[in-house]
Amino acid sequence: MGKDKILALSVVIFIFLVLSITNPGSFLSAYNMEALLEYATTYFVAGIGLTFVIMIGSIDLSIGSLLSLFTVLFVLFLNAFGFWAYPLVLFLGAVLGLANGIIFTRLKIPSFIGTFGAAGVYQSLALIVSRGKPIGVKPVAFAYLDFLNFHLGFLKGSHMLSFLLFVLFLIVQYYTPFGRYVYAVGNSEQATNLSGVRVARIKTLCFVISGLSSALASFILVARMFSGDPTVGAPYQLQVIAACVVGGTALTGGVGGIFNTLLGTFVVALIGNGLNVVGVDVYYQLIITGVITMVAVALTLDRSKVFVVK
Amino acid sequence: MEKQPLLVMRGICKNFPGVKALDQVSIEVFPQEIVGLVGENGAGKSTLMKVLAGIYQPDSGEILFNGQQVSIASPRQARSMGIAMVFQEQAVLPNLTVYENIFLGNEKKFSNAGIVNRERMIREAEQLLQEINMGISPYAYLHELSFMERQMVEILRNIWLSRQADVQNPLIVLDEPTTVLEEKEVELLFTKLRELKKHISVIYISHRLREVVELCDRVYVMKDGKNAACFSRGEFDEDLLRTKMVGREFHGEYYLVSEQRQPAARVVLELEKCTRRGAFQDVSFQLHEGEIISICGVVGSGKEELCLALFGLLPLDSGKIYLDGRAVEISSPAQAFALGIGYIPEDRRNDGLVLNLPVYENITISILYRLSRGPFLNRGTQLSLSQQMIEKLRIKTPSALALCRNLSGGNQQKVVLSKWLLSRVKVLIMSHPTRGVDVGAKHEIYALIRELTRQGMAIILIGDSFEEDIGLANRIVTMKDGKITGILDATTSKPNPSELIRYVV
Amino acid sequence: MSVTRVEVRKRKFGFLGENASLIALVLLSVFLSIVNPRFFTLDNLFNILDLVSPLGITALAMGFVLMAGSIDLSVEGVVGLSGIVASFLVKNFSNQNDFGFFSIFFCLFTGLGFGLLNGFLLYRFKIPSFMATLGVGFITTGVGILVTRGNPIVITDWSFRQIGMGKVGVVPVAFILTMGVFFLAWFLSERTVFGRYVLAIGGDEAIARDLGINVNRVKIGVFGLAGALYGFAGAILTAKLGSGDINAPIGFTFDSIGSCVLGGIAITGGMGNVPKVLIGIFTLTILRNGMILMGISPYVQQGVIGMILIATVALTIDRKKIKIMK
Repeated sequence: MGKDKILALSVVIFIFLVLSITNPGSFLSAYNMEALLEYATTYFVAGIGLTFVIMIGSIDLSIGSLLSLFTVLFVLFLNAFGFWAYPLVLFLGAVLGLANGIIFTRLKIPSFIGTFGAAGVYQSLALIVSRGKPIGVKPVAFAYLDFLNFHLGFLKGSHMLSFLLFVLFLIVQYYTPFGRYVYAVGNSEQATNLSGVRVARIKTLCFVISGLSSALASFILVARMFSGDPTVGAPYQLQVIAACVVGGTALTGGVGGIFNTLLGTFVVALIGNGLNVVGVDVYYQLIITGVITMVAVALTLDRSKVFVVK
Repeated sequence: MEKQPLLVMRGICKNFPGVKALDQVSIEVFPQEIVGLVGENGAGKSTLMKVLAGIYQPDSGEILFNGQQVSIASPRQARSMGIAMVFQEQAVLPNLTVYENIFLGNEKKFSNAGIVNRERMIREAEQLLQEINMGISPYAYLHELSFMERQMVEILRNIWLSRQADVQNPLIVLDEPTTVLEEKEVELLFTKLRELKKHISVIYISHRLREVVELCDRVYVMKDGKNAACFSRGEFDEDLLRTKMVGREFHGEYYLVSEQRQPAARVVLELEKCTRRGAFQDVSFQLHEGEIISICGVVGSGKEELCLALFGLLPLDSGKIYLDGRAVEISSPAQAFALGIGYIPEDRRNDGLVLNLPVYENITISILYRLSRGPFLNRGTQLSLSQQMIEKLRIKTPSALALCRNLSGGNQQKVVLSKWLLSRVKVLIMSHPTRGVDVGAKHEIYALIRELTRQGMAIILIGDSFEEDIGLANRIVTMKDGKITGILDATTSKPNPSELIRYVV
Repeated sequence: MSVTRVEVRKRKFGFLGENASLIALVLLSVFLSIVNPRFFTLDNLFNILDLVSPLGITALAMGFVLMAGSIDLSVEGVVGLSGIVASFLVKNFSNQNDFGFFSIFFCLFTGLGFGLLNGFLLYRFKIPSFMATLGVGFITTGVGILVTRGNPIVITDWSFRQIGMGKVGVVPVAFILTMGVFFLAWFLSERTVFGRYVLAIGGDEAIARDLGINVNRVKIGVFGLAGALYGFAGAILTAKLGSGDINAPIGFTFDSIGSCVLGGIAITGGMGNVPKVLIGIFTLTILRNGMILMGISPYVQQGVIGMILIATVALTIDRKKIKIMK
């Protein structure tokens, strides 16, 4: 296990222990554990795609608005088409991810501005489709959310889905050519390109995965809220970036991975959850997350790759 | 009466690990003269000038400027003393205007409490522009000007800086100023330089011997890091310069000439009148199976760009490329590779290898999809194939899992070679394959190159020196100013470097 | 790649290219006047002037940051927080303070402080600007929520509110203030060493540094300036709305960047000037105004502007400058 993972793992264990010792009753309760896992799984699933995007050295600022859009669409589809909502939203996730990818590779717009502009469009779509208000899941459609909501102790179906996705993408990262190429591109795009590898395709695929992750994360969100909300996604943007970076996936690309993101999500989720348990204002969460994100970025940045700080 | 020299560099030595770049080099420049500096690639010209410009520090020797011994610690210091280098990669900002560029960094001279007096800047810029009288407006943006006009702006900046430092006769070093210029512009540049000679001295580095003969008052020839000759106007012509630039003994066996094979009859790659504006034109030749062709030329000959175009990194403006008889368009490296072409880039560390990845991943990077079973990568095959390559090429590495950044230069290059060998490309383009590699590893790489040709691979080579080009090649394509000047046979007998140089400069 | 030839780039479209944004603005206005006669009424035109501030000031700040080659995503948080500072200091329902116009200075300092923080993170820790400002943005938003418990702080100082709501004749006070700021910014950009260095750094930082320009100092200065401008914008916003609300500036980041792009400021840095930002903010405001008059839902507006943003960047981006796409 690399140095980067050991640090993150230690932080996770540390926070967990501190909270368990100081607040065993509230922190270790089944209710709280479930709440903790809820947050962690949402951040994690949304972060899967972002992990790949950051590893190739880019960024995706449209995750928050995609989440909003997908929760709205998912609820609408559930109410109208029942089970088909799942494949439909997944398909859209791939399509919009592809759009982001094409804007980046074909139009050659830097990812920070391209996904920023796209985010505006997606947010707009979310507001249009929902007419600005949250949409509730109709009782007839509740059944389709069952498999996500069924309980085994404090473990939910959605938690297991996240775990499956974790395993799946871990395999993709280490055991598929695509996964290895992501590392290669992140470490030296030049050399990878000059080795005859289709770099544009790899990059686009990373954005597609990002779109898919947002779609999957929206499933988990809707299963919890039983509604779709066009404003729900905005705060997730920073939390998901934080999860990736704090876990050790450097913004400069080429290092980190899914396991790092898993650890990072637990750090972020534990902080949020811990603040709740201890009774600290939830308002501090945003501030603290912002601070630790930047600390993590500063620590993990590969200075040799950054000649000019833009 | 003897004039005092403006600049004296005496006994300059500069060593880099494993290489003696400068060995007791001495030059003098007098006020109001244009001095040429010529020599082969690697002769030491740019190293010497970098010492002068403060980019490098000499290991020994002295520099006197205006009679005073000086030690030039940084480019900024050099500039403030009145010594400036004007490179091909221009140090100007295209998004700013002429007058802003001239005074960039020195606005304090025109400002009061941070507020700039634009009118004064413009007036002073106008005065300077008058001196060269080229019709350049101070208000023009640099990106609107031609290359040569931008060069002039840079020169003006340096002249102005020297005057600020009260230096009467600044020294400007021009490094290959005419490579991208057209005939008319070259003439214009010369006229301006002759006019400016009243105020400045110029060191003119160039491969274009015709120009050096026409423009320079005196010329220094460097060879292998040493002074080779010094001539004054009237004492030299192009041929004499060429003779002095080369003239080493030719050692054939170093390049394993005995292992040289006869190329097969089959034509693997054919170029037909390939042209790229500003780089090369009407390039045509054939490459046969198992043949090594080296492309020989100096900076600006177009050989580098030609190789980039063959690997899909530069588009062609016109002309056709045939691979195995089929016409192809090579629009990207991925496509070139799919067609069976490989490329070993000059910059091994940034372009050739992914340094942070292990050896086995670099060796197999091009063919991961070929090595997969279904969606999954077959790690076992990946490792065993890499191990085979490590043994075959005798790559010195603790294991296939070691990171490439920890290998020596020569072994890194072997990893790059094995990547293409494993990928079974038909044509391999090599740009300076033995640069930065120690002597022993060089020899091993030559042996590998011979082995590759025995397996039928066709190779296009840009060598580090004439000797390498001659020693390795079956045929030599010489290029000058973008055109092919000759295709020489090197299989039946090896030409001499002095014969070659006529085609190249 | 080591082999590059500097290609001669004559100005692509000449006069048209340089002034494309102005021409687009004129065409847009003409189009809207034809399509909807209500557009060209005096009432509506002054309405537009009113809408231009305080967004115009944040766009101006963003313009400087973009010209220096960076980006600032902390707009909303800093504007919001500064606005809250103002609302706490003028006469309000929550406490006994009554600082009146002095509050503006505190707003400026708040903004300046966070702006300098951005610059510091960039300089000391080399965190890319999008990340540093994103983080600071969230932090300031968090502080704003914390301090107000998510509820707007209503102010009761009528004369302070005149900054946002008052008119001199028919011209809104806020607009006059904004124009004043633009004029100062124009002077700063065109006539001071600092202003010229901003463009130099955006053009080619390496060359600028080589020629002796203190890049770090300029960058920190740019972010500090932007922050101070955000502070001022926050004060005006609070005066307009009558309360300090952390949610009030939502959308400002998007609109500020959009205005700059529409006006012709290059995303890659080094190109642009203050008048272009002005053209851009008018274009954006008129575009929104036009869409409202045409009955287009506000939700759609965001999407339209997003697409225009992407399209404009795609068309105008200087691809030669970007060697590796990040």
